[in-house]
Amino acid sequence: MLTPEISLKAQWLAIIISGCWLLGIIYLIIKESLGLRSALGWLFISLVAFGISLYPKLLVAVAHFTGIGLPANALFLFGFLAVLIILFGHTLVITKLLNNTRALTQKIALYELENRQSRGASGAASENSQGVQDP
Amino acid sequence: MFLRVLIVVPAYNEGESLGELLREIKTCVPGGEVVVVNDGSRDNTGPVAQKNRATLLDLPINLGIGGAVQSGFQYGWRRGCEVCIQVDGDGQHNPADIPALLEPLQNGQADCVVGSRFFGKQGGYQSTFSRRLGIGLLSRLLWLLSGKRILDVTSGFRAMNRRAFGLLAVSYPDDYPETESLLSLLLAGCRVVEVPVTMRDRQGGRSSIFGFRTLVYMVKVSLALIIAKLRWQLNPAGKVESEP
Repeated sequence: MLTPEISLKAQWLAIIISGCWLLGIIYLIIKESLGLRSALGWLFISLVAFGISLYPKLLVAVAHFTGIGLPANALFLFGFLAVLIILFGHTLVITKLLNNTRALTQKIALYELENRQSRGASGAASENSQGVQDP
Repeated sequence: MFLRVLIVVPAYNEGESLGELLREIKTCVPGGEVVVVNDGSRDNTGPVAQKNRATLLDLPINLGIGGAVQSGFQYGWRRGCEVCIQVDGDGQHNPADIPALLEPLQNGQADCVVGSRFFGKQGGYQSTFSRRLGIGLLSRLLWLLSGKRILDVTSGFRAMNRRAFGLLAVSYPDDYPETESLLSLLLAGCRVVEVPVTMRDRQGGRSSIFGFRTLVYMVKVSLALIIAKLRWQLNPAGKVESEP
């Protein structure tokens, strides 16, 4: 059977949850707590979830189009794939951040050492010049 | 004789053994500059290094052995050093062997010299059976991928000329970097030779590779070697051309 069996009560619950989720994401983007670039995936997922909660027949059409027997299975498959893609994207970002952190740490340590060495050299030079000036 | 020799000592919580090691290095290589790369230690590693008149490169956070050693090479490159010698801060490497490491570099026979505990069997600390088995397997894998047989592929006791450490200053692996960095050097056309050295038991601290981690180490390093070879085949020039 391809028609999703969903009671009005359950549909309202789905609409409220996905609507709150969507509004929450938009609020965090406006507040700049969530960068638009990294939130695009979440925004897309929450929009799709909201759309499906409003029109459950969308899910039936997707299941029919992809040849998946039950709409609920299509929902779980595409939900899982979406989360997997977002997770993989995060792994890529973490790797890049780690590389950047390493390069930054090394640069800071090298500059700090060079700074200490040049201060030491100038300190020694001023001590020497004072020594020359002493009677 | 090389004019500018840098001894890179990566150290993470090695305050217990570092002082003695630095005194030994000063005795064995009197003209060399020693840089202690303090990899975010929580003990007195930094003050011990300064007390023994070593140059202290203080990493604000812990980067792990790969990041620490690479920082030392970057410092050597900026200072215009001709040779970098890597000596572990745990006291396992005997500074008395450093002249033997330098010899093939001075004769122009090598770009990188590995201090080996298995080459020409000198005795001393030979590691546990399981580790020797793992090192043997990695040695064979390196041989398969590079065509060069190196017995002590995990040795962190190495001397390199400017060409070799310049390459590693640009790109150096994160975890368990010794074997992978050897493969990078070999693939870049560097000449790597081994000289026999006597290694000692740790003077302090604790090895990060034990128990189950030995197996993880093996899998990780083997994979890293295969990926490094694939990367090189896809882009042979790669990072070789860039400057640190």
